Amino acid sequence: MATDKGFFNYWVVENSGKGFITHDDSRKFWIRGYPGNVWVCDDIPESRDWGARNSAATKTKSQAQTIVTNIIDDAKDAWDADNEEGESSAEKIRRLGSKPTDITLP
Amino acid sequence: MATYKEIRGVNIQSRDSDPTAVEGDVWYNASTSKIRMFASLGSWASGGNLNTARRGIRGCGTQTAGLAASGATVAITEEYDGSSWTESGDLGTARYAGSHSGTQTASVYAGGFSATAVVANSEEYNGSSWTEGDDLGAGRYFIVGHGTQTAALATGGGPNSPRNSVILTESYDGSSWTEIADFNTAKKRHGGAGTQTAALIFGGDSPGATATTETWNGTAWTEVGDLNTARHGMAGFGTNTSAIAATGGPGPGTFSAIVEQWDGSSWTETSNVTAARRQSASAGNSTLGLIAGGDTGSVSSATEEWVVAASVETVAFD
Repeated sequence: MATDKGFFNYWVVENSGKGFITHDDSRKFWIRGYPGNVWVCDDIPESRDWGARNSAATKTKSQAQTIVTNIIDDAKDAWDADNEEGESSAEKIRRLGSKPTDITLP
Repeated sequence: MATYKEIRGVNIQSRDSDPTAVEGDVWYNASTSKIRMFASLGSWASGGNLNTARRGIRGCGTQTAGLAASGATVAITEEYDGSSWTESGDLGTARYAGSHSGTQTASVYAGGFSATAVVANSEEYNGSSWTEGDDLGAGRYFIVGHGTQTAALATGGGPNSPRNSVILTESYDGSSWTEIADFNTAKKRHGGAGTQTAALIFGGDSPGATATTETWNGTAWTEVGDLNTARHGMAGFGTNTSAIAATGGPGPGTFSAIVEQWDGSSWTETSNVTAARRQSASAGNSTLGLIAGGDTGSVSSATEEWVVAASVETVAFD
């Protein structure tokens, strides 16, 4: 069974829906999705086949992290900028959800 | 550590071929010289994407006939056929995080948070449109729904004060909501499963993430085994003896891919979802379920389908 350990591939590809990740895929290798259509997989032949099947663009870890960080930073900025007069911080969280927090890729 | 014999009552048996097995059976296949085991393996795969990405959606139904309604803060309803989502009639009141119980053709949605306030009204879905039902006794949001349109439970939630959670259980008979019991640990943003007479609630915001689990027998709530990871904003589906608790997060703005499986007495970690998230819709049972949408750091339209497949595996040794 795949685990969180080992070396990874970093991809960018939009989730196309049904068939994008199959049960067979998720049983064969570890895969995790992040904001910005970033996907991190075990670096094994099966995951490379998955990337090719979905025409995923290969990224370095640094490039992938930058994509995720930019998305989260934009979301934080949007959260900070979205205010209503007289609204408490708790009321803002209820309206918008909690402020996004940083995500660090494995 | 217990031995196989202590657990199963017999030593590992030698067989000429793979036998008819049950969960956890281990045997030696003398023909292939392999140790084999029978295991149920759960996994997640992509399903069709929602038409509208959003969080705070509420789902019901099954993996091949699912229903997702509401979201922050819209009135959108979408039906799932096992492959794709199709928009249907809008809720009368745009809202998110109410309770939603029933099937794709007969459900009841109650409470939630509109663009400006907690609401108490409920609406019934007939497969194409919504009509107004009875109001909850207490308006609140981040409630969980259990059961059917004519025999539903709405558990927990938060009233207008954002930091509060309640221990409230209300029951719906198809025409009116009635407060029937309190549970032990206040919860909102919790997970739930089961029916009006046999329900399960787990995790949630108490306030602060809790791991507590309680089971309902139609009369009273009883505390049972805790989740391994305290979190809130999770999705849940199944029954009070076999359920899935998926995703959530341990604190505000955090996202988890963790999935735990309930066997009637304890939670065990199983295969994670492929994208960590919170506040998704959920539907199905503990062997065929789904989560859809939610918040991954940005709002998501992605659906993930849960399937448990029984299989015979060869045991490998390092």
